[in-house]
Parts: sequence; C-alpha cells; structure tokens
Amino acid sequence: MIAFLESLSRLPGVEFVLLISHDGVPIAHARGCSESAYEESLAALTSQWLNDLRQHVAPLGWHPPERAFLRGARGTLVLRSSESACLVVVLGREAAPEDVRLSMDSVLARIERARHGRSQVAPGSSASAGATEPPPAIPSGHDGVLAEESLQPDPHHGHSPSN
Amino acid sequence: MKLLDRILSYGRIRRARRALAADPSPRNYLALAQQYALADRRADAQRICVEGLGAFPENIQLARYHQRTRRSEREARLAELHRELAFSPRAPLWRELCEILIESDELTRAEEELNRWLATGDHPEAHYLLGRVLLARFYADRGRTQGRAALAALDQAIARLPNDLRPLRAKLDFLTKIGAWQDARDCAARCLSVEPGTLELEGRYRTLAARAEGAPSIERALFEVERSGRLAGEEGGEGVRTSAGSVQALLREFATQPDVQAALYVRGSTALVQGPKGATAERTARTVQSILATSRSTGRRLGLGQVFQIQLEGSFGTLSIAPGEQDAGALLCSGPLGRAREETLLGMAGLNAATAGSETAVHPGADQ
Repeated sequence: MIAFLESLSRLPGVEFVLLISHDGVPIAHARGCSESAYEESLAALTSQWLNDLRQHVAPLGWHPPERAFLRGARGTLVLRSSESACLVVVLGREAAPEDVRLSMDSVLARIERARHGRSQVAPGSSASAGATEPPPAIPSGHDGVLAEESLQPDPHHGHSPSN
Repeated sequence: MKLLDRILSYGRIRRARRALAADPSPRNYLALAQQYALADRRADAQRICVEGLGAFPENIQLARYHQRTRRSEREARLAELHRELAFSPRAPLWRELCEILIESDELTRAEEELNRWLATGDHPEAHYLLGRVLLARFYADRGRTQGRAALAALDQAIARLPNDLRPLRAKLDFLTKIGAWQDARDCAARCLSVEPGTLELEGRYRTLAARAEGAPSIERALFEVERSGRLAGEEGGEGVRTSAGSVQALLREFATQPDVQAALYVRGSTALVQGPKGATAERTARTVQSILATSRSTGRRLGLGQVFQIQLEGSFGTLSIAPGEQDAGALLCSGPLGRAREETLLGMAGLNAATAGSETAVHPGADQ
C-alpha cells in the first residue's frame, strides 16, 4: 500500500500523501517534498473536516462528497474518499488540485482492488493452507503490495465480492 | 534565435497596438500586455495593464495579468539578488531579498532565506525580519502556535535592537490586535521610553491604559483569536462596499447557464441566492455558510493560510466556494466547474457587496 502512495508522492508539487480510515486513523503515508512528519494531526483534522462536510450537506439530501479540496495561500489539501478509506494529499502552493486528480483516482482504485483481492483471496488460501491464524486487522505495507501483485483479474473478475 | 524572436514580436506588438487604438477594450489591452510580456518588456506590459485598469477598473483578467507581470518582475529582481549574494554576500542585499519576499507574501521562502542569513552570523536585522515573517504568518493563520512564535521572535529582535522602535512597534501592533491591552500598554510605555514625547504613542498609551483593567492575558487573547478567527476590532469592520447590483448581475449570469443549479453570494449571515427558491434556497445558503466556517477553521489549523477555494464533488455535482476576507461566492453545478467560471467565481470573492435590502436576500439565521 505504501508503494501505491509513494508513486503519488513522487509527483511534482506533492508534499505529503496519507491514507486514512473514515474515523481518522492513519493507515499509511508517504512523504513527498515535505520534511515534516505530521500524519496523526493531519489525519485527525482532515477526517474532522470530512465529517463536518458530510453533516453540512446532509440537510440538502446529498450523499457525502467523494472529492473535496481546500486551497489556501500556502498549499492545498485534497481529499478523495472511497467506501473503505480516504486518500489525503497535501500540495505545495505551486500545484493545483487538478494536477493530481487522475493520479489520486488511480491510486485509490488500486488500493480498493488490492483490498477486494485480499478479501477474496484470503479465505480460499487459508482454507487450502489450513492456517489457523486470522489475517491481521491492519495490513502492513508489504502485505498490501503482495496482495496487489498476486491479483489475477480474470478468474476473480466475475465473482461477487460478497463471497 | 533571440534576435529572430525580437523581430517577430515587433510585428505582433505593432498589430496589437493598432487593434487597441481601433478598439480600446479590456481584451485588446490584455493582448498588447501579453505581447509585451512575451517580448520580455515587463515594464511596458505593466504600464499597459495599469492603463487598462484605469479605463476598466473592475476587469478581473487585467488585474490578474497585472499581478502576474509584477510577480515576474519581482522574480527577476530576486534572481539578480541571489546572483549578487553568491558573489558578495552583504547585509543590504539580504535585507532587500527578504523584504521583497515578505511583501510578496512568500513567507516560507523568506524564512528560509532568513535562516540562511542567520547561519552566517547573529544579525539583529535578520531577527527583526524573522519576527515580521512570523507575525505575517500569524495574521494570516491566526493560530496560537504562530502567535507564540511571532512574539518570541519579536522579543529576540527587541533584545538585539533595544533602541530601535520598529520591533517594539511591531510588538505593540501585535498585542493591540490580539486584544491583550495590559501588555500592549506596557509595550507602549517601552516605546515611549525609546522615543519620548511622541504624541501618537502617548495617545495610544492613554487609550490602552483605559482598557487595561480586566484585559485578557496574552495566552488567553491568542486562544480567543484562534477560536473566533478574528482579531480585536475586526467585528465591526465593514470596509468599502460594492453595490449589490454588480453581484446580482454576476449571479444572474451564472444562473442562466444550463448546468448551474445555484449561484450564491454570502456575507455575514446574509446570502444572495439565484436558482433555488424558498426553503431550498435557505438550506443551500446555510450549508454554504457552514462549509465556509468549517473550512476556514480547518485551513487555519492546517497552516494553509488564507483559504482561496473550497470545492466539493459528488453525486450532487460540484459545489465550489471562493471565500474572501468577509464574503464568499459559491456555485453549484451539475457538471465540472470549468476554468472560466472558476475565475469569475474567484473574482466574486472579496467584492464585499452590500447584501441588505436586496430582493433575493436570504437570511439563514443569525446563529451562522
């Protein structure tokens, strides 16, 4: 998973990339040109902002926003939300949110694919191996990359993710 | 190649000048300024922008281009200063470099340069400029941490420049702006000890002395500023107002576009809404105001500085908000916002228009 974020953090103008759960827990992060480590406060503040946005748009009968950005004098905060997590990117003042739109969409799609792949692969593989240990609650970066790489799109493509 | 460019640009400039003489419109002013800028004649480009702005003062594109040409001139001077500093570093060059960066609100770059300057020795002027940088950051973000850092830097500058009124005045302004009247009074007394008999300082001292009783401490005042996002005395700040008509014309222009669902202008607890009617208009305005308040606070906490744009995208479409100092323009459309609309919306922020007494005004509640 960290490998996915690192590809995004290498884009020019990207200062920090963070993947958080919807309740504000940092899952993984990658540093771009920023040298400060502030993932926990960033995670808390962005999830608070996203929750506030959800509450504010609810009276209009709108679904929660899928993408949001906050552009300030000294940088931009871009959020892209999916069903399981939220991707947060901090941009420097010279970069625009549109510069990372496609990259963020693709990274989040890859993360979602990896997550679905893991949820499909994990029960089958554990049954065949006879393993007794449950999968870890929070996946490590190494696991994420392996799960993504081990995806085989054709056999799983038609299956429903609900097992 | 450069000579060829110059020859080619000469013809283009001549054509643009003729077009401007035949039809002095903002577009032709802009075209001529662009040709001058392309030919590396920044001073001429600026002159044309100033002339165009004199004739069309509300033209956003001309104003933006003027800003861009000024910025490009500034960057050229900065590059020159860097070259000079590499060969013969000296205090006046460092000072000019840092002052240009501070004035152009390039605070991070200014701080980096000041740290580089301070690395070469303990220069009192550098400490004072660092105090100004941190002060500017506090005025933009209004966070407690930035306020504390600014105060510490100013104290250091005062310790190194005890007979210089500039750091003392900066501290006095800071303490007055956060509403720490008692400390401000003490600072005014210190200013008077450096420059006794200054009538303006004596007047300030008397005003501050009258307010000092029961005044909050610095820490408490900083907390209040962070919480409310307002400096002392900003509550009633009205400033120059544009007529509501110009904003309504912009809103109406937005609302005529097929994919626009709502166009809003909010200021304080009042909003002008084009598109939705009745309760829906009120709910939409209320939502925009809530998003605005939340986002400004988040921007401050994240250290992003003054917020220029907030955009939400989802199944409802795109809601884009362009906040100004005291007002904001907002546009809800079913598709993407688009560059032209984004620029117009950003120009709407800061118009500071009068909203009271307007036909389409919606009052979403004083609690917002």
